[in-house]
Amino acid sequence: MATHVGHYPWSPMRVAGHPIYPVLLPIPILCFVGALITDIVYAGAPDMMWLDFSSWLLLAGLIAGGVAGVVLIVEMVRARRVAIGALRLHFVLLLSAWIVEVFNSFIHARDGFTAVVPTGLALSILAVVLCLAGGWAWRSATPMTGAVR
Amino acid sequence: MGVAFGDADDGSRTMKRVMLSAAALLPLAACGSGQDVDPNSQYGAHPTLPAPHEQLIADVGVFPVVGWAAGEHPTVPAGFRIDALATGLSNPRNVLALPNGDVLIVESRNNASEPVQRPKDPIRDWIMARAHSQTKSGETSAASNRITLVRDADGDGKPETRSVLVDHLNAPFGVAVAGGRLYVANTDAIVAYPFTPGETRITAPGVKITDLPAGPINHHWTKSLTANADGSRLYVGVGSNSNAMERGPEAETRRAAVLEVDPATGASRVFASGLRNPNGLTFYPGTNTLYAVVNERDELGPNLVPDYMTSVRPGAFYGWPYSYYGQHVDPRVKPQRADLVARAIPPDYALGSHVAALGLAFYTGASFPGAYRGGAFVGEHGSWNRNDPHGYKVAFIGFQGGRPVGAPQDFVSGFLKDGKAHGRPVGVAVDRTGALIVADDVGNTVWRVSYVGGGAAR
Repeated sequence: MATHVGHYPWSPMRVAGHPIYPVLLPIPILCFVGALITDIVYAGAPDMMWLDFSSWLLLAGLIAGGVAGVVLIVEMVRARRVAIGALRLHFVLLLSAWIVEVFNSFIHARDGFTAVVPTGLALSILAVVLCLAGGWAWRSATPMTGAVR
Repeated sequence: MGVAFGDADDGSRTMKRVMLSAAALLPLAACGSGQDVDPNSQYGAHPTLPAPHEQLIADVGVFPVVGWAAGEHPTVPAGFRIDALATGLSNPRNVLALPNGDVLIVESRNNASEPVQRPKDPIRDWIMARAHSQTKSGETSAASNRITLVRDADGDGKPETRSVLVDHLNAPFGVAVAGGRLYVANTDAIVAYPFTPGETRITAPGVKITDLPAGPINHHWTKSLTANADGSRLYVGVGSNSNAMERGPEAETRRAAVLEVDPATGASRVFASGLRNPNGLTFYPGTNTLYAVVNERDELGPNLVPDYMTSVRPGAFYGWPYSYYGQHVDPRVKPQRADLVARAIPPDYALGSHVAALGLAFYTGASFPGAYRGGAFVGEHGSWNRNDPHGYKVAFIGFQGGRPVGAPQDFVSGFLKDGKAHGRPVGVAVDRTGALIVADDVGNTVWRVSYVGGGAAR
């Protein structure tokens, strides 16, 4: 079956022929969405287990997001004039989400309820809005990515 | 907005807005302590308690350990002198003076590490390890977890002999002699050895009296120990397994409490609770009133919560983790326990925030001036949760009518100099001659403070 994945306006970084960035991008987004969910559960039923989940999800999201961010910078250099506007928006939204989650990790290091309510939960919501918007902007930058013909 | 995401020019404007909202968060990082409290108002029966202030990054003030060079020593008030009773020890944490003049030195190291629950745990462990790091003047690899006996038969402050009384212990801290036995509070159990003062080496195996709450977490591992006057009951301090119950309530079973143990049967019960990390258990001389110094919780700001010294009333609840100093509720602890908070009693005497009081001895000797008689010496290991250090000294608190009065005075100080820790005081005791004995763990030294009259201090 001949599928042509990745009709990019530029030539993306590939591993074994496949673009690498789309594999990395969902990891931080899902981790941050997961942390928001466990934050909401903890706020409703404060068992420390949920705060532990949130803390590790934030750390995993920051690490994966850091790796994805480095690859994204490479993509931006490669894209140059071709799609830089939409990519830049994507980058800034993700970077903003990442910075918010750095602060959020420190808030989540508190020993109990104030690790989440109210600041931690508020930052989780803000970061999830930012990174979902960032994901959306990625689709605009690569309208044909993943199309099967 | 939806259209804007597809458009590069509009996008850069959105970008700026996002950047601004991220920048708006920065003041969070820049905030100060928010607790403008005179530290001198945090002593005594009614300390000033500011509102909790959880910083983005908690203040951390730990100091590199340099140890004592030859001839260096802590400072004492005029009229007193301080000498090393024993040097080259391996993390001496506690001392017990026997009636015959022998001094038992508990050398202790907890090698077990706590399981990692959250990303912050390894970071905190690293900070704590720095504050305890051993130096060349210490002996990093030397054997610890033993009790060393030094004998100063003529009472001149210069011991004639030194021997290992008991070896191969498990992170011991508390030690008591009663009824022909030496009781040792290892971190996981109380063990008894047949012992008569005068012996310098115990060869008989220890007999376990009772287990104590220990691993796998074992956060506050020092188990303080004392016996009542007739030796029929032991009292052991068991610190909490967390700062503010963040390891969950199950991890705190029989912790943050003083347990009462019947050494004949090993039966035990909770004597008093809500004491986050009780140490220095000692009966006030000539009474049945048990005292302890207690390390209160961290990360509510540099000036909260003051550590304290208190009489420990049977059946009393002192607040941890739900509240402190009576009904001051800790906002971090959920679900709360209003029933327990309602009966939480405030402690007798605040010592100052984060001083880390670990040792307590009442002055029962006769060689110090009269003002010291019946007063308390408190070994303050020193703070980490403040930029500006607190503790790192042995404080003296006078007593009148069996109650602490006045402000604490610096008695042995100079452990911290120019941002470097030469030593850190822990356990304290009063010896047969009335001299004060101080265990200095990172300095690997036991100090002896004696009174020489109105001359110059040294």
